[in-house]
Amino acid sequence: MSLKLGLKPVDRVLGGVKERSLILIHEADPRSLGKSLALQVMKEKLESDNLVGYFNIGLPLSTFTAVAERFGIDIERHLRENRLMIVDTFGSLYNLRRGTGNVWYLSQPISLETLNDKYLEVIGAHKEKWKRLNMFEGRELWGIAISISDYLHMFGPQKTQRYLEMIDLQRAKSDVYKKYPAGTNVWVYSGNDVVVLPLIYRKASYVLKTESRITGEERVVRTMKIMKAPDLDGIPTFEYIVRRNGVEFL
Amino acid sequence: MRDREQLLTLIRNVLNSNGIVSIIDQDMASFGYLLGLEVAAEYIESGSYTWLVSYEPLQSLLRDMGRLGIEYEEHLGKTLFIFDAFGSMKGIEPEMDGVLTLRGYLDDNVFVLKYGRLVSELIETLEPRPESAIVVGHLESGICRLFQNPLKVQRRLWNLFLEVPLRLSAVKTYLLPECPGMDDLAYFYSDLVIESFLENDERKLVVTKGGEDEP
Repeated sequence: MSLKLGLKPVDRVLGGVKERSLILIHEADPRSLGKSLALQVMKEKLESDNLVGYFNIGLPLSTFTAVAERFGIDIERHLRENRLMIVDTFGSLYNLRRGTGNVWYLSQPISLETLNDKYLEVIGAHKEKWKRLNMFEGRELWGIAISISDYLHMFGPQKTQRYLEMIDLQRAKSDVYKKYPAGTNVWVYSGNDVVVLPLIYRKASYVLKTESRITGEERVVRTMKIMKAPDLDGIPTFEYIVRRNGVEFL
Repeated sequence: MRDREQLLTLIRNVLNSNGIVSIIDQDMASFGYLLGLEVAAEYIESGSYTWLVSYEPLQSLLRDMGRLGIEYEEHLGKTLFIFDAFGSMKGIEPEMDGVLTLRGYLDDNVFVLKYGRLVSELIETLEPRPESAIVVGHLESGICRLFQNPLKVQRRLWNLFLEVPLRLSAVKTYLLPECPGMDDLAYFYSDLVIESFLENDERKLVVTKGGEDEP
């Protein structure tokens, strides 16, 4: 089954993305504002009353929330209305916890060896809640992670690589993905490392790469390239601008 | 293409609406960070509450302010406070009123905790109690020279910024080659980003985020 991603060129050219697939947004340089594409997907999905699990990896949650609110995503309302749940890895690691409902923290101590089990624990608990509230019915389920590359700063590249190599197998065995619906995932990865990023390029079904350049007229041009998608020939490229409250493709 | 005065106007507009401005120098000879101090001067000299954080040796900051003709002395300790992050980590005692440092044992975590406490205590002592302030992060890329995990410290310091019970605006400057990776958060969080670089022996200042919403 195909789902609209909420990024117009992808939906137009590819007709959407396959349900339960992994979409990598590779933000090749921060100036390209690739994270805004993930925010755009989050905004579209929440506004159309779908379920979103946001995985806050390397940012203080307050920072993410402030940016998302400025982008026009009413985080508090979506949390309150149960369509949004947040797993705050950064807050769990550095003990920056807030008491808002539907925000989950991982129990200490946290290392990459135990991280996946702890994620499964909170994802399972929240999916049980969604099931109890009958929220799965008629709704899409999305997981959005900003940014997977932050694991590198937190744990180092080699450990991150090992972690990502192992989670597929661990998740395939987990009841959480058998007992409850599985989501379609959007991962943001910033930078161009050669240890972890190639692994995710292979793992993902779709790769959207964002880049930017400054022109001779001192204008910033931001582009998104569809680097990988099932049955796609060539690399379609699209230019976009990021406004205060949304991404606009030209 | 905008001239310097247009850039200053754009920066003022963002700061006046409690926004965040980042100025990122792509090379050491572009000196875009001085634009940050130039903007700060307007707030300092008008007596607005200003929290200036130096990740550089204090004398280097004071020298730059002197060169720009910023009249800061009469405001120091009244409405202008300089937090000497460099001096704190190097154990250098402050010798001027209005310059603050952290004392005792410091590592990445302890620095963030003590820094948060220092800011809260300072706000309690100010009369009249400020409702708003401007934060100037002077060459935050210096974080890379001072801490073991600079990106973590940068992120935790931004978290503190959001916890302060005042209306804050901020201008932060970076020399990117000194601390690669700092532009990740700067781009994500800032309302306005200006990059500074050299091209054909010419200094360029280009708005790279936030320009699209400009009227």
